Amino acid sequence: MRWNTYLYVVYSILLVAALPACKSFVEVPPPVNQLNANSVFTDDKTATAAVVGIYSDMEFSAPVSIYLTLLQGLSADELASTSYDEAFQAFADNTYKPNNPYVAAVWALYANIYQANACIQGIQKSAALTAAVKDHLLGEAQFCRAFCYFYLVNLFGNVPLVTSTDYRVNDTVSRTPVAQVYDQIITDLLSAQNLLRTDYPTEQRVRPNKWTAAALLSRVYLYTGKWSNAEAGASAVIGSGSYTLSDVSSVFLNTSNETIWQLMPVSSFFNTQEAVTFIPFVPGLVPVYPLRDGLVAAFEPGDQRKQAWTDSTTIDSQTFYYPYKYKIAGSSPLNEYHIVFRLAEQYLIRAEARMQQGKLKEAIADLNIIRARAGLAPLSLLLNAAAVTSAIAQERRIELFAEFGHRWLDLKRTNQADAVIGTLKPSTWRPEAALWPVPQAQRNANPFLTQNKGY
Amino acid sequence: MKFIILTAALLISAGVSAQMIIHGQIVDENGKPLSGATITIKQTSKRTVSGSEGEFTIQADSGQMLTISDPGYDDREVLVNTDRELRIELELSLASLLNTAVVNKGYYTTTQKLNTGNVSTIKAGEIAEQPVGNLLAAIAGRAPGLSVTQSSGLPGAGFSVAIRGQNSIQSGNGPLYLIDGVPFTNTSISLGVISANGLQSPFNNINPGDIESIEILKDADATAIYGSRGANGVVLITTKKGTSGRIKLDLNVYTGAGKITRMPDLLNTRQYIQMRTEAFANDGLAPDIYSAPDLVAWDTTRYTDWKKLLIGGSAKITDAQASISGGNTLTQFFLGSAFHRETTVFPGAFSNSRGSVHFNLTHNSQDDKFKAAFTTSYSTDKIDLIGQDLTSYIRLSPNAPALYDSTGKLNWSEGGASFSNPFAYLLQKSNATADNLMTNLVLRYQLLPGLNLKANLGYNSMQLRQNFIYPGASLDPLYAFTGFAEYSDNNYRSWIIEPQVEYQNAWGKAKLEVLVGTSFQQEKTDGSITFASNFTSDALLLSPSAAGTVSVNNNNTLYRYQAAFGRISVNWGDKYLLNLTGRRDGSSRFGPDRQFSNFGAVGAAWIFSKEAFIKENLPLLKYGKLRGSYGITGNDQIGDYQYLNTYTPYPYPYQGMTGLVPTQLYNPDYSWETNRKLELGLELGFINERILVTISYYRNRSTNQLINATLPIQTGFNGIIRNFPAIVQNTGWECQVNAAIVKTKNLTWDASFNLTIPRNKLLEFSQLSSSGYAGKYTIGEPLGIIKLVHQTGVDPQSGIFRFTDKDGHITSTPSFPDDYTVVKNLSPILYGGFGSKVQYKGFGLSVFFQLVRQNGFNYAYNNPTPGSMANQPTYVLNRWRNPGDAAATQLYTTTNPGSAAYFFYSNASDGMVSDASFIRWRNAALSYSLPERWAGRIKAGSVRIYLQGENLVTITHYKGADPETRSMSTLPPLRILTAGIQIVF
Repeated sequence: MRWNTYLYVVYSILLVAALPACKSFVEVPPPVNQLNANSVFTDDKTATAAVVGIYSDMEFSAPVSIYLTLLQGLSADELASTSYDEAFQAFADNTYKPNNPYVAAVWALYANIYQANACIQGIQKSAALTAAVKDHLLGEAQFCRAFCYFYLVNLFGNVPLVTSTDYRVNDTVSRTPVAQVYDQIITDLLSAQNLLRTDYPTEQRVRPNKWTAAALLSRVYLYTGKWSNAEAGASAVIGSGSYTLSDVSSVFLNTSNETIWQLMPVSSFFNTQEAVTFIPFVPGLVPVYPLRDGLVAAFEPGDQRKQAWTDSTTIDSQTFYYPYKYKIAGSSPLNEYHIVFRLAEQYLIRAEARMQQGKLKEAIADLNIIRARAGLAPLSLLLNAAAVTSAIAQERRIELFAEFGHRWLDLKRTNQADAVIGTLKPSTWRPEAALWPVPQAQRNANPFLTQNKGY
Repeated sequence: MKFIILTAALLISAGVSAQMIIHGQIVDENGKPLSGATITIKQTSKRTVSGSEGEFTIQADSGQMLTISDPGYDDREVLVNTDRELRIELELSLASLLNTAVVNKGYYTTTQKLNTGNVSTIKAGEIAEQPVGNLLAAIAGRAPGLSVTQSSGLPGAGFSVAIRGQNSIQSGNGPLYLIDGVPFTNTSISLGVISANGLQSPFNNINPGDIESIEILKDADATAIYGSRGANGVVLITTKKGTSGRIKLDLNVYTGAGKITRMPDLLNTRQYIQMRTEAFANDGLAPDIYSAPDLVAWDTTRYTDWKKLLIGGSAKITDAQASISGGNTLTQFFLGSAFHRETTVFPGAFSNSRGSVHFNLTHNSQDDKFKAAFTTSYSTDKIDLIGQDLTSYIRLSPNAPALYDSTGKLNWSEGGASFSNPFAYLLQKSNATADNLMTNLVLRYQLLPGLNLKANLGYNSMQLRQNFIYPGASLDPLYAFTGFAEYSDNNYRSWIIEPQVEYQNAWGKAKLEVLVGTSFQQEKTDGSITFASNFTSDALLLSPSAAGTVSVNNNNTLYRYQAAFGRISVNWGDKYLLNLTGRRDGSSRFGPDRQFSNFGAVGAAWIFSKEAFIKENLPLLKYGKLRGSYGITGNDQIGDYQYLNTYTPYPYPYQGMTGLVPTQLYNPDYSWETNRKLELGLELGFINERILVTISYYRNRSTNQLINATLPIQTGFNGIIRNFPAIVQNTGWECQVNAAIVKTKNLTWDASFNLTIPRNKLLEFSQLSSSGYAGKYTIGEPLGIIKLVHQTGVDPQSGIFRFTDKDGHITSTPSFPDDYTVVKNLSPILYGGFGSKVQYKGFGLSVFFQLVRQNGFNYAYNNPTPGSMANQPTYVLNRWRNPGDAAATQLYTTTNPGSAAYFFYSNASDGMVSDASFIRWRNAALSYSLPERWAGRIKAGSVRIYLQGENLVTITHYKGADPETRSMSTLPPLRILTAGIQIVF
């Protein structure tokens, strides 16, 4: 080979080998449809969008938009199931197992908790946000976190308490005792109450304000037996002047002045999931989740709520009742939003907190406010404690049926579950069913998660 | 003393017959010297071997016969007479299976003899015998180490392809596909409009008739030059090129029909009603309108054979190919055009039509220094289908209400009980149009003798437009929805530029080949999916502007990839071969500082049949080669941008504001998965290389596994991508036998056989028991395992399934995963194919059989509880009825504990896994070529008529539908019969 040939070879190799030196070729810009995480919390608008992302997801995803109402209603004595889906039937029978897909779906509230944690972290670190916006967004995120933990701790008992975003720490967190989870909920709500303003950041009460945090906090105090705090909290909301009880027929409209916080529908198909789920659209079809007979019978004669909030269909001389608080199954007109907190509950919280403190007359007075709105005669102010207790339970059962599982949680926290559900479903009820099982897939993914008793 | 005797002997013999010294040269048909040929004096043991210039010297007597043999050439006998200088020409043996075997290894070619790696080839002839629309269907079973599985019998459905098993636990396991050097994808570019056939397969855009050959590159030697893309093997697809000679016009048309084959019989109405009644009787429950509308509200005597009605039709298939090719010694061209159309077995006018053109132009300069080859092909594929595979509705109650009411509208209920009307899905049309443009230019210039500059330039553009409508009329009035629709528009553009330098030289017996190149690639995808609802009229569903509400989701990715690669090959006397390949790769799929990695391989081969001691001791062995390779390849098939910490807009705005949500958990530190491959191969050729046997052993180990490691949702997400210290090993034996049994003028008979015995094993997985894979994998077992509880059969007393717990005790409620005591491997443990082809004068017959040995889910998997409101295969007739019965299936029931025992516990038991092995007569082709004088009458060069069949017979013990798709709700592969004619002018 001649010298020239060698040179050619060497030059060619050098030429070809030199090309990949431009390393930047494989450094690609971020995709046009994503935003760098660091820049999200440097701007009021994008930071707000990150918090709004929590509400979008809550109202789109099943746990908040329907399962909290549906699955707790089935678990309690509110709803029956005619669904072919055995996993729903398992809730009606309280025979849910660790692999039940809907148990797993509710546990996935942790996805919303992560969103809240990421927002809290991002907002706290950010120096670029306007002070007023920063405070309000932080309060909203803390409220959302408390809201999700409230349901997790009530449905599953001890649950892992996660307040940061580092998966390397969080993936092995074991179940935190209920009391500690409640402590975090209260801390978050107290902080949120301080940070949030009394007015709403946007129209139509679709983002939480101070009174929303206060409303959840008074409920938390009630559940944890802090009666005076619960009474004071509920009184603050009731006395805020922002809310009044609506007429029975307009409680669930998006214009109701009783609403403390409502989620705005995000689907283009319907107003609320409740309406779609509960209302049979063709006359003559059996409702998929009819109201149980006991609940229907529990309405006192003359109670306007029975007429306004339930409906029925008769097939083969058998009458099926179903929840009818939300009446618009289609997408228009968009008049019904998904109400999460409303004033009536605050009266009932206060009534119970007062009763527990021996303030029976004040308790009955609160109950009578709710009864009056329903067109019922007032209760005597002379009832004894036991009678007031059962009157409160009765009023909560009727007022709050098929709304975010109030009845299921009430039966459990007042230790009535065994008596009431055990009587209703004698062949399938077990006391251990009061706590839902920890999803099996989660236990596989985190071996530090223990299972609830009886599963 | 010795000297004297020897001299004397020579003198004596010289005196008896004229012994002389012959000098000769052995050459091939083109006058090229052949070294290494054996020259034997017949009936003696005297022999010599030709030198590097084909020269030889031998002493022989006149009248003796010289036999000259060289592998790959026909033996020749030459009578020794007075000539002392012989020039002997050998003719290439037509029957030899090695002579024509040029092996394409992508960046370079070699011959089968000199190949140091493992490459299997599938030729156009084998593809042409199969009346299939998708190229991937045509290669199933045809090469050892290659496993191809069809996902559904519907046109456009996807195929999963694996070369030598599953290497990666979580990342892509698909091979790299290159069509004429341009990367192609087997992953649908659809953003997610899922139609009855699943996601549209890009290979549906490729006309199998355009393909000349397919090479499967398997070991490190063959794949390491592809670096990171080579871990799962490489599939090189070469399209047809023009050849010099007279202009040839080739017309080929076939038509035929396909029908479903294996689908179990279902209960008729009488059996079904009996099942339901018996179930309620067993449960002690009275059927009512919502637990049993089929018994209470519907006519219990009506019978609809849903299987026949929904999937019992026949799919019409038409295929037409036309091509014109020719050229002179400098310029050649090929121009082909094709049309393919298939309808479906569903009721209604649904079809898949593809039109394609393919063009190739090759030019050599007069001085042979410059060479250019340009190839382009364009195809448009139109799929008019529906959104749902109707196979999933054959389980409807056989007495379900009438499809239409008295006014001709879809019926949704009877007697106050609703039913899901399967004919509604016929209105939910899903239309897709996929366009594919591939173009490629190869330029080569000889700078100096032995030194070439080369460039490969390629461009691929795919567009997929889909729309999927849900007319209001097709929606259950239960939900009172108006019509809605989804539209998606997906674009994929990729380009590749690969400048290269090739150098080759020879010094004496040594030949050297050097290749250095770089590769720049980009893939860009832009997709959007539009969801539109609140239409005022079903007639306007294809117009998003008529929608009351529209939401759009888009996805855009950019993938860039660059590499420098090289090869050094040394060949010593065509006997000792060494092949070194290497590549440095950079991929945009990794975070900064993690993008680059090095890969490489060493391959070596020893053609031992060239050794004198083999020639002397094993004269029957004409060809023998030992080869081995070891190297490292990598894998980056994890999707784009996974290392970024970003927020994504939420598709459902809240109060007019688009929310932002975290895209994923953030991990910037993951990097390449690596795959170390070892291969040993033995290749033997017998009887003038007419029988060729290749046996290979391979061992691939994948480490640094990129896993979307399962995380508990308490971390915010269900997983995160990270490198995991896990090792997956694939070992296996592959055997391929090709035989040219008979090769005469009138009769040829070829046969081929291939067999693969793969073994997959998880060697290491750090902290497996505490990972999300604990319930899925076991160290030392294959990745394809499933862990199950053991089902002990039907309890003769209660009539429901019983199981064993971890201590071996009988239980009716085993707990998961504690009582998983059985491990079943669902990956194939043996597969192969056998093909044979006979050509006698004008008649040709070829057959191909595919063989797979495996376990799989049988019909019982995810089967509704017998007794519930769903039809059942007749297998369930053998159920428990009375205490003491020994039955295969448990009692009919609608409630617990029977329902849980069947649908929950038994569904996680070994009762649903059984033998799914099969031998499939996959293909038969019978053809007859008219005598030339007949063909001449229409001025044709040749006329051939043929019958072809695909998926003819399946021999299996499998309980369920097709043992390949193993699903009762997916349309199984069809049996197809076609007839065609090919005319060449």
